[in-house]
Amino acid sequence: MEEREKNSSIPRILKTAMGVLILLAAWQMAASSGIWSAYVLPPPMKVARALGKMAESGILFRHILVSGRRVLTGFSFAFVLAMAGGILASQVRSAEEYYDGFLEFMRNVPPISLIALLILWFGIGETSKIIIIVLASFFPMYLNIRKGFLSASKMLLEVGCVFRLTRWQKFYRIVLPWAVPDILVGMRIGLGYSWRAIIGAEMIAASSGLGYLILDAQQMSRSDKVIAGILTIGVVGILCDKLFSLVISRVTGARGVGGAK
Amino acid sequence: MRIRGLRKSYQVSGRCLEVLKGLDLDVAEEGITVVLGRSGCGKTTLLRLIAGLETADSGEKITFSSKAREKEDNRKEKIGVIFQEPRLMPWLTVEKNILFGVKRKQQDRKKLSGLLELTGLTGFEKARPSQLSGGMQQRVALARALAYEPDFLLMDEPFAALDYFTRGQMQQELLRIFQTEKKGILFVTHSIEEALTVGTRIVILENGICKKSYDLGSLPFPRDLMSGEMLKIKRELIEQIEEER
Repeated sequence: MEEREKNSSIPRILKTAMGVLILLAAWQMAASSGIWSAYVLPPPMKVARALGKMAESGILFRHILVSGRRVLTGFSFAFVLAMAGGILASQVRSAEEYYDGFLEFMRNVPPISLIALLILWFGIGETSKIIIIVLASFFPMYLNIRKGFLSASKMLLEVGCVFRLTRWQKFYRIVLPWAVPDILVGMRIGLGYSWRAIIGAEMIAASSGLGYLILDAQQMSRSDKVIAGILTIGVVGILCDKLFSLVISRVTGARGVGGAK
Repeated sequence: MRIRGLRKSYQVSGRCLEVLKGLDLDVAEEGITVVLGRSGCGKTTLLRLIAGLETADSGEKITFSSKAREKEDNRKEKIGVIFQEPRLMPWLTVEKNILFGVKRKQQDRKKLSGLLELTGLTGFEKARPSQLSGGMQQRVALARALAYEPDFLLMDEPFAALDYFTRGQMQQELLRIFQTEKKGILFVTHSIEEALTVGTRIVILENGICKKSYDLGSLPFPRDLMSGEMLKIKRELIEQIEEER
């Protein structure tokens, strides 16, 4: 009991740092054991040096910016589409029956499998890359937004009826605020998926971006740079995720645990 | 408010269940009409029909004739509803919840302050519903309904979920508000004590019609439920409801 109390008093950030340190130590031990060559498993210091060099020259930030722009563009398009789909599904119930089957089909198709067709249809420019990101991030957003809209409390909607709100007023004064936590959760997951899709997107004849950085490093047999690129995507993804979880906790915290009563 | 020949039925497991069977009811424009009856006798259905949350079966109508309508314009009557649950918007503060049904142009700070004072919520304007107790939440719902300036107020067992003491306190507050605002109130409850505490008229609902009504308008508030007269009425009410079996 005492041990557990002592354990829980360790700050969260320290626990996370300890976990990372243990992982780094294991990585270092594995790298220096000689079982694998430095090409297959470069030691952490080599990766850190590669990361430092890329940061110093500004290349890393340029790649981050390029990928960030692509992620943001694809994510924004996906969000607008997901909101439109969610609104349609919640406001015109029969409409969903027409596109639900297609969406269900597309949801099960990995975006990467469409690369060949996308290049054929849209060329090797930005459009194909953005579409990959849209396809990856649309579904988690759409499903959460749809759930948020459809789960709007009937009791609160009746309050809207009592005050003679129009259909549109009921939507933006009750349904939309009700769905905000689900929308934010969907956006959070969608953004994560966007970052995960960046490699696939930048497989299409990219000359910059973190995906390109990794693929280029792979072709140059620079596994240290590959790992540096992966680490960068992970860290940027975590930072975006933290930002969203902060917004979500602010929104849900202000509403209280009880929700609608 | 006059209700004539109100009918409502539901399909339950393929069977037609007639809840209201041509109900007639007059609700005073300045009084608390209490509809009393067992659970499932159609009290809530009656309220939901009047509020427009459900539609009556074809051929039957709910008609209104309020003073407000006669002297103002030919607008539809404004009906305020207080449900069994507070039904507040969890994302809005107390004051924004109170003003929920009021058009932006008609929102008046002075009136809001008056309502906050009337319902004992002064100082809680910026609080969220989740930060309030059940009784306070119900008071916000009451203030919200009053801010709407309804011609009639419908109350569907509004204090049923509250504890004994809060319930008593809320009943006294309702009477205080009634004496200030002088609204026509239709109050639904299954509690005989509550009906006797707040009602100026008690109507017993049975088998989808109003079986009997008692005029308590001559009995002043606050009432002593242990007085001989009140005990007599209580006994009669129990007998009437017991007969339903």
